[in-house]
Amino acid sequence: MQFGVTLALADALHQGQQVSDVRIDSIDNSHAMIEIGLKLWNEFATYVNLHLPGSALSAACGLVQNGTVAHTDLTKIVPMPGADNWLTALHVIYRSNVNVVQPVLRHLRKIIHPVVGAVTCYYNQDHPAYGNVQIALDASPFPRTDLKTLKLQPELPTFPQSATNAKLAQMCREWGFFPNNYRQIFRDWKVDETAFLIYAPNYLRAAEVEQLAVQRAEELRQRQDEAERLAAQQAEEERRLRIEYERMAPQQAAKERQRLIEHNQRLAMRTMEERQRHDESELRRAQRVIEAQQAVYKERQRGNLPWRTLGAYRNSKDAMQNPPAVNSDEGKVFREPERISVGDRVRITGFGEGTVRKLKKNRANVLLDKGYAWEGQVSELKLV
Amino acid sequence: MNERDKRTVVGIVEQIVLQVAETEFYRLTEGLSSNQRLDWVSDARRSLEGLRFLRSPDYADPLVALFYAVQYQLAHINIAFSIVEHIRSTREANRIF
Repeated sequence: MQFGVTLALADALHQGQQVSDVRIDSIDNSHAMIEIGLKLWNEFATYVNLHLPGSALSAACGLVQNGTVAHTDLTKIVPMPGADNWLTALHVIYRSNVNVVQPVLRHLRKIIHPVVGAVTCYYNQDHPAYGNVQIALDASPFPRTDLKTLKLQPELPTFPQSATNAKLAQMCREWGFFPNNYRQIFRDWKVDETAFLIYAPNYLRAAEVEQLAVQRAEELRQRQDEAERLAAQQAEEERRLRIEYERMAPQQAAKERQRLIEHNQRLAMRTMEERQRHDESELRRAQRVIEAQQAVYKERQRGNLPWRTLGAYRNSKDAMQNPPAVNSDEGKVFREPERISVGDRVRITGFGEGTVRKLKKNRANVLLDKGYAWEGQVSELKLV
Repeated sequence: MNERDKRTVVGIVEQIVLQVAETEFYRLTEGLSSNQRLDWVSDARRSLEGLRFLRSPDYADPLVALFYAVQYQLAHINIAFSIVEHIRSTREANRIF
């Protein structure tokens, strides 16, 4: 059974099914059978893990746990919680042991409450007397019985004459266990006619299946209705939120626009005020300059101050404290800039580069003479 | 499990059964005379033949267990595998509803 379950489990794993654990509690009172079965299994698992690592068969070998219990100590069998429990008796029931096997099976059924039960026996339709079907039916612990017949292909060893098994072949010939003879044992055994009784207590009758299908369909319909109701509810909520947003959006936009307008107005007002303050400051400064110029001019008219060159005029305070020397060699009259007219011929000395740049900028037709003095005719005057 | 995988598994089991059988046979019959070996083998075979007549063999006999493994192991594996697969597929079909 352990081999068969392992192969079926490998199939299930290969098909993508998830199986976490499989436990087999084998009931056997033959120490010899347990021992040889254990040796075969260990060799098989070792071979598979060595030669087929990572395969589904290797994974299945690791998932199946097998334990052996004597039929006289059934208290060791405890069903796995939350697992599907199966109860099988494969080729176990014979007329000679039915009185022992039957109570064991019934006791096990009460203990583990199997969802699937299976009992197999040999059956030969050509020789019904050789079949155990009625015995197995009588021994069945299950309340309902489905009789199934599975046709199987024989899987019998062929005793390959390889070097590894040459000694076994020699041994068989020597001791009468001839490879070809054992088939004669089964000359009446037609494996294709082997019958199996499968008892599935939880299998459903047709009416139950139909009722279950109706019930499942109703459940499915209810789930679909619930899903549609939730979807409609969600859509309604989204629509309500969208309307609310659209209703609030113009108000929000108007508020934002008003806020920006007010902000720009405040900014423009502040800029205008700053500009006004700046202009007033400049005006006061210009008035102070004019007043200073007028005062200086009056003082010069009174003869208290000498006439200045343009260069010295740049700083009235400096001009009053450190009046530049008059270039008497030229014998020219130096005049205030305010009194220079177009066409006048003037000589400017002592001016710096700043003055020169201003004169050039104002298109005064100024030609530099070595950068420190200029004499020429004024063609145009502009206020700097 | 397709036929190729099945043949692979059958080959593995067959090889292992024969290897174990060879080792176990010599271990069990070590120290016995030729006649003793012949008698034991004959008794074991006769016991196994009881299966044809619905008689349970003497499974307590280690040589019977050994010969049972050699002769029936693969067939028994096939039976168990087929039953489990049949039940599993049937239950999956039921779960479709």
